[in-house]
Amino acid sequence: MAQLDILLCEDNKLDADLTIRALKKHNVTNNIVWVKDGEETLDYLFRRGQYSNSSAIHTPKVILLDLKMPKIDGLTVLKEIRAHEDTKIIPVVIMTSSQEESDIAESYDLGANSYIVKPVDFQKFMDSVAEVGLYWMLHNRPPKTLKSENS
Amino acid sequence: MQPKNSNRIDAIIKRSPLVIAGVYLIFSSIWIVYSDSWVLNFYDEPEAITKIQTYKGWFFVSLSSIVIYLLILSSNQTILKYFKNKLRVENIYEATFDQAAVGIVHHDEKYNWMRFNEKFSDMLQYSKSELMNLSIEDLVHPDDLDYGKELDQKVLDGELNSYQIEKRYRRKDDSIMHVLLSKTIAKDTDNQYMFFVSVLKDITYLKQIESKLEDFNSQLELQVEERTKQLEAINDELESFSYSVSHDLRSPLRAISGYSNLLIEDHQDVINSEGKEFLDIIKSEVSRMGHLIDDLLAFSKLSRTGMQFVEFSMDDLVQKCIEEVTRVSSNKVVHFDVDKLGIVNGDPNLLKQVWINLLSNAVKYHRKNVHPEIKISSIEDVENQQIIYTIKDNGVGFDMKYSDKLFGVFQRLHSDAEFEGTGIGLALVKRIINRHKGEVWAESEPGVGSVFYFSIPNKNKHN
Repeated sequence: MAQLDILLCEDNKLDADLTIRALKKHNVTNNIVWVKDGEETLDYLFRRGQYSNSSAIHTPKVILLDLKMPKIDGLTVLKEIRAHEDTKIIPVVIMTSSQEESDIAESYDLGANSYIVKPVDFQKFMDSVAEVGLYWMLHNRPPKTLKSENS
Repeated sequence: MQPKNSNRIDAIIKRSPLVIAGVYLIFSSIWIVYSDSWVLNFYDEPEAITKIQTYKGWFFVSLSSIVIYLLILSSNQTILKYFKNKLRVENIYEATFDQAAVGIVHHDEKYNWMRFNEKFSDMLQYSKSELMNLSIEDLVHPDDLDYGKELDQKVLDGELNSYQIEKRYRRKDDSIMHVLLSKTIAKDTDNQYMFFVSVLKDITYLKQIESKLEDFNSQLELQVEERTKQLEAINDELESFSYSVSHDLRSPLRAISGYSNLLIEDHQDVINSEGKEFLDIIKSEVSRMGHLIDDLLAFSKLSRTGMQFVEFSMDDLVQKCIEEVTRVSSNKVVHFDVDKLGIVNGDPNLLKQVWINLLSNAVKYHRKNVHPEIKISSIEDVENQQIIYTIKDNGVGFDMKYSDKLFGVFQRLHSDAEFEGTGIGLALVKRIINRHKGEVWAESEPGVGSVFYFSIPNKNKHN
């Protein structure tokens, strides 16, 4: 596995499962890694903890990030991602249930590329996940540095 | 004591000697002129005349003595009566002066004591002799001294007849006495200044009650403030509770919706038609619950967002809302009749939600086969300084006995089968109007139509 399309950070197993199914069903990608909390996300990205000896680590094309997660919450994860040279240009899409204005404002303030409120309705949920995936995987043009590392 | 009386006495004393002398002069002259010729009518012998004249002389002296006696008696009695009366009045005055429940002081323009009553010295805790050696500077609170002297001067100059002020005195034990002081000047019969008359009432007790009352008031205000803070904290807690509840509820709901969809899509070969029907019910109920949660969220969000007060045209806003409502219900023929609504001071975004809710309700709750006719108007309520907006429809209406439920959260007067809805719309309207310090109410008759009213104060201030 030479490259990774999507890093999915989501503490809710069912939400994660539905998201992965949605991406597969719409043929966006099969190349997804699911991490279940903020700590694991950072461990994965910075090759620490359980990922310290793993050779199969790749910088994702896009990170789908939930805000409400145990241990380290999404906003802290986002801050860390933006603070590091290696990860600061990776597109981060916030996918959350929170419609709080303050959450939205803070996310963008910390450098989120997009903010999606997860719809309750399955069909709408499938559609928005697929749209997000398609946009960031296919339509978005990342700068050369990110591309070269992935290829 | 009245000048009129004393003038009369003056006159009597000055005039009575003259009157007595005059009466005596006239009486004796008449006697001298007529008595001799009268005697000559009866007697002609010189001896008899001489004898008669001697008797006549004695008679004259006796008679004139009686006249003089009566005259002096009468004038003396008038004078005596006057002085007796005066003494009586003075006694009454004296008694009043000494027995008065208020302090009374007479002093001259240089603040020398002329007289004061016992009450005054008692009030200040001094004996009469101690007080005699003290000056006004020793007694009056230094801060109140100059003001009092200024007013005294005005009375002296005739600018004021009298005055009444609150003043502080220092008692012997150095405590402060609050006094209500009335001051004027006593004048003599020629209306000239004689001395100052001060009447002092001890109001220290009243002042103490007053300051206690102020203490209570400020304490009460503090308490109210504290309670308000507590209430606000509870309110905040409730808001965040309702927020997180609705927030966390979405997640399992999404899973229910998702997996029932996946069941239908991916496993239709193993589910029979009844199973599919059930799954459809699950799906639609999930979506309804999703709407309820969204509405609850919107409602809780409303009280947490700040208000932006601006002056804007209600006509423009209502026009926009009508366009929006018409676009959503394009399958219905709706007739709108809008009066001039004027300028209003409020939050246009929030008031837009009010109009959208009220107008879409008016469209939604129409009677079968009757085109909705909606009349929008406004009147200025001058007395209460507010504008009342009216939305009148010809819809199904509602029973007024349920009107108290109309604006409650998730309260509905119609079933979902009749009219779809979550019951949040009018609760939202009420909350927005209340945040504008206005009121919302409705009148209706089933099968005829409803009228919704809401008021917005003329001078809405930002809160």
